[in-house]
Amino acid sequence: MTPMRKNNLPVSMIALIIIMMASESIAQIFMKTGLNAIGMNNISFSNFAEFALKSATSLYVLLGLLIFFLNFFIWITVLSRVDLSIAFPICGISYIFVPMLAMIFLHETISPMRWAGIILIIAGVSLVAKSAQVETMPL
Amino acid sequence: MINLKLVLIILFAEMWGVGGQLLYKTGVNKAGTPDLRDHRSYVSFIKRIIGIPQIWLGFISVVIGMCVWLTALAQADLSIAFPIDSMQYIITLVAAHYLLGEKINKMKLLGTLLVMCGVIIVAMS
Repeated sequence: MTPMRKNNLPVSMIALIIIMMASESIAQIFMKTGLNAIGMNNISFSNFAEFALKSATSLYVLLGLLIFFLNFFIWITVLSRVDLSIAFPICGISYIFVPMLAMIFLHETISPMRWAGIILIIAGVSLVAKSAQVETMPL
Repeated sequence: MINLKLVLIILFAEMWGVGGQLLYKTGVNKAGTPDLRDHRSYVSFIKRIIGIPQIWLGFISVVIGMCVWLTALAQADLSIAFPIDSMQYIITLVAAHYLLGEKINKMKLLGTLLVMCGVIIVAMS
């Protein structure tokens, strides 16, 4: 009997990581919007209660926290199927989403240097994803 | 002149972050693999997850890591903070190999290094 070949990185798991990192970028923007609206820039022990109360009643902050919470379950699900050493570097794609979102929605330009970084990340993620299949290839 | 104290704080933050990921993976490995097409299988997976101490410890560790990182960011020169922070990719790879027995091959190593360099460039530019 030939041993069953396990695919170390099913497409569904790549999709989950992409959803997770894209929603995480959106959550960061929500959190930043919410915290800016609260407008407290000196948080110390004395006004921490006020800060916590204002955060807990800010819709943006709560939405951001909700996304972080849901992403925890996505991440756990990914880890149930994928090696940490494969899943973790793929999360580096989060650094692609913020400049992309800023380009699409805020019409910001991406500097050549930043494009170079984005291309390196895409190349690296592709190699790591490819290595998941190499491992299962018969020698 | 590199601020040594800051470097140590960031590495300290990373230690908690990477430790948290290792704990997550160790915990998840105990819970098995859910069948994503069957919601009952997924619900029982989540129930097992909630009962695994490593998952909770991992969560606490990741949160501590984030708090330490934010403290560092507040006082850091970003041109050194991000390069040190992105060392977490290589630390995770090495730790996953030695502590979890995950395989490393040249392609994975090269890919991880490229992601690391890309993240540094994007974060700093």
